[in-house]
Amino acid sequence: MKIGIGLWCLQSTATAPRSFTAAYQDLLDDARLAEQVGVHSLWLSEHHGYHDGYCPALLPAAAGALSVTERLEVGTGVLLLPLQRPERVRTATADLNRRYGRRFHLGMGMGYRPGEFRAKGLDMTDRVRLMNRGLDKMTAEPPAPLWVGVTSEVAARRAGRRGLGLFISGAFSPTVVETLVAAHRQAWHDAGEPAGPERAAPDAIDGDAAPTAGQPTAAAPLMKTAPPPPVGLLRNLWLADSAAERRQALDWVRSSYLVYAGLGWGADDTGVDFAAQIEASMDEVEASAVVGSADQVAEGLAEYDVDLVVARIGYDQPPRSALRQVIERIGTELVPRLSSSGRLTS
Amino acid sequence: MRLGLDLRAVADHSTRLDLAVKADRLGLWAVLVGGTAGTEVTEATAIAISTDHIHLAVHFDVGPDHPLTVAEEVAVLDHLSQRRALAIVDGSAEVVTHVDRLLAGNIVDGVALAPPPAQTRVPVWPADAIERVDLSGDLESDRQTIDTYRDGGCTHLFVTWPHSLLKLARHLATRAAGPDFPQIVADLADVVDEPRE
Repeated sequence: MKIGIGLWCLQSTATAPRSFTAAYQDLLDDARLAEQVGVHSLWLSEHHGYHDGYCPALLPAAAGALSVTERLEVGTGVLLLPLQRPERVRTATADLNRRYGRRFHLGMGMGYRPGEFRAKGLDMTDRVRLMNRGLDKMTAEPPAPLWVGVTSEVAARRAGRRGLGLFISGAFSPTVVETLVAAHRQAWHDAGEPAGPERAAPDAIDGDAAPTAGQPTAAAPLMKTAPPPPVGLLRNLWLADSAAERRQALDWVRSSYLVYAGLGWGADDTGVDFAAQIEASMDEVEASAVVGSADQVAEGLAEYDVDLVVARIGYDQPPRSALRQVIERIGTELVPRLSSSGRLTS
Repeated sequence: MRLGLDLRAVADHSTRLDLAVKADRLGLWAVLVGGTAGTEVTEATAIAISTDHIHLAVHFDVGPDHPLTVAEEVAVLDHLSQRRALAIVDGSAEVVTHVDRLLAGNIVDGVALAPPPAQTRVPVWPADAIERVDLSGDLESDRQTIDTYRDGGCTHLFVTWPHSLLKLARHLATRAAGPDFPQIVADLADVVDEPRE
């Protein structure tokens, strides 16, 4: 199992206002530290037009993190594909991977805030069509390892059918995670076990050797030896030793969901009363958080049958010193405790 | 008048990066980069990370992309580069105005750019309004070219240059700066350098 860190959203929130420029310079420093201590990857997240400046342009942000490192992988967890022109994303992704030794992962999601679609002249009710059109573009000539962010079995099956990696977001319980992983693998199997882009030859980036994702018949001879597409799991996680430290970490986890309450509040037609449900959401998040010593966290993660865990540590409340310390501890204490036998090739 | 180095015709990424680093060290005002839509801003980011002072003029061929997408990328570049972004926008007058107004802090069609850029106002120039020239490398004729642009009221000139950037910085960026450059200083500097070359 590989361990990454996330989500870097580059915000200046109501709970912890800061300079945006400082946020972006901190991203560079954090990427350097993550690489230095042996963390596998750093993941970014996207929203548009949100008051706290939630990062709206992940490709330049990723280019920054890739530019200051040599081994660290950098991913989007997730880029909102329906809000972008897929050809543009594909070209930029291919360019990043060519330039930075295939260290960029493109995670894609649909988005859920109507205002973000309106801001780009789009209608959110069209998002599934836009997402599928975008995924068609990406899988025709995969420019990088591709992941799809999901919150439902339908979406997990969609990713599995295409042979794409699964990026499971949020605070789902182990049972729900298991269900999503099972749906993903079953759909992949039913589709003829298509080879995923993470196993595409490096040449494919240039379009010289388009792989056969989504074409199970043509790829059949290879499929029997190809493992299923990888599964990544975003998990609220913190390394803490004393009871007081654990309580502090859990409070940071809880408070970070205020940001999501705000995002949901802005999404006025989701049918969910975010203000009324904030406490319930926080309880759910706390229950699924993995907080403790390195041994306890390693044990907690062992119950998930996934290839990559992205430790969600990019909260807005912890002081910089605490964030830097947990990055260091993840690299030096947690990474060595976890097997590197996952299906990620990098 | 200030000189910027147009790198758009330099094919290789590592050569562009190398030239940008040298231009930064020699105090040139800006580099101009472009590329297929989506790669121009990542190129500028890579240069920003490797340089400290030089401005990053990015040529966006907006095409079918939404002006908000371009403005968002410029804002992020402005934070990553610590206030060095400059947008050259290739699109209709309406598109250029849309990008400019977003970056200036206006709410356009109900949308405010988030985050705002680091600069109070990022320069947004229409692509067809920038001044650029291919310098020949022959200092005598290039001096005349520079004088003509400078005395004609040009304030920022993008150039391509076939020789060492030290020559450009020493002989032409200096000359561009004002109407009374003492040429003897640049010539003597060449003489001083000669034994080392």
